[in-house]
Amino acid sequence: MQRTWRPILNPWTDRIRSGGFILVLVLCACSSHTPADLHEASRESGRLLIEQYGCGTCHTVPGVRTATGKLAPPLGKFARRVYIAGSLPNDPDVLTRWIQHPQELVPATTMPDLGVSEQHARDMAAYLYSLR
Amino acid sequence: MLTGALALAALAAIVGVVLLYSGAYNVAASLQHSRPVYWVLDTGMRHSVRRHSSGIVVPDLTDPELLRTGAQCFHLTCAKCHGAPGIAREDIGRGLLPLPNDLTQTARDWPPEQIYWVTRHGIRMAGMPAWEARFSDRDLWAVVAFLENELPRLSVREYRERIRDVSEMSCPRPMDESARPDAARGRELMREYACHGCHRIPGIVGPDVYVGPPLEGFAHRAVIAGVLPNTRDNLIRWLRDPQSVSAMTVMPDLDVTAQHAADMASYLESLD
Repeated sequence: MQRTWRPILNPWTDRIRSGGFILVLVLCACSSHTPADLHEASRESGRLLIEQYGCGTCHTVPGVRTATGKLAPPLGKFARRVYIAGSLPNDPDVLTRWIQHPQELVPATTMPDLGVSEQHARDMAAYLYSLR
Repeated sequence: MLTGALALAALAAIVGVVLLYSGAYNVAASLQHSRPVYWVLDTGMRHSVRRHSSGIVVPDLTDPELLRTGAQCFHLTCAKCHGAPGIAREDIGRGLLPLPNDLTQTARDWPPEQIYWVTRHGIRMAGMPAWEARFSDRDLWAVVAFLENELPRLSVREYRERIRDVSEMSCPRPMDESARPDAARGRELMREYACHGCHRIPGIVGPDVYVGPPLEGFAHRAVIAGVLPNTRDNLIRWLRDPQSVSAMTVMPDLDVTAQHAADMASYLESLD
């Protein structure tokens, strides 16, 4: 399982680590496709996909211009959410499956199945996990 | 002179900020408060209670039925943290700092209106909960009556006698009045039921927590818990018995009364 997210225990540790992360990026600038680049690309693609699939009709999503819906819970700070849909532990694999086939996980949910491919769902999850 | 005072205030502010962010102050409950800090906390608490309880009219506290209810409520709730004659505090009561008072002492030292006020409203940062949402006003006074008129004069044997039927005892809860749902009261109740322990709720100061979804804009939500149309009746049902709506939900059954659910629903519907 690709671990794209982990709980924040200490914001300072995170800041220090992301500082180190930037340093690594600078040092690796010679090679064009580092895993970090791909991750960044996935997040940006996820942001655009969230806009294109119209998630914002129901959800408010920070950073997505058109996503100002109030019919469903706001998705700000999604990386800090403990549960998805009030019942499923918030984990990248579960979130990806939830985005693809919500009714397989919670049959009665009003969240629609939008026919999202696994890659698209992973990208959207990557964006949601950047919201801290 | 004025410049000196301003410089001193600025210095105090800087020292305060440094102390706050350096982590130098140890918040461990395994270390006792220093004597001056304890004195400040205790003195401040005593004067605050005295001031805020002034003007409370004390009812007749000698009715035997009231004393009986008071003994039950005392044993089932208060004694867990405060202890009782011949009965130790349970672990939580022993571990709190400051330590919950032994109420035989409090009953001798404090006038009834002050005991009533503290029981009803609780004490901030001291572990003493506000009981007003769980006890009716009559039951609050019943506890006060038992403390004032019986507890300090009971031998261990007599106390045991009072609680002999403990397995059949219950501490009554507030009657469901059919008051009009009130959003302001609902907001206070959301704190008393600890809703803000899991949800961010506009208007309530609390932890930065995302166990459940943030409740901002709740008035616009189409569905509750992702499954139930957001109507007043459905919301009340959800608040009172969430697991009947969604068996998998982590939202617990909080034993919410009908009146309290209506008040909280009213507050949620006001969140724009």
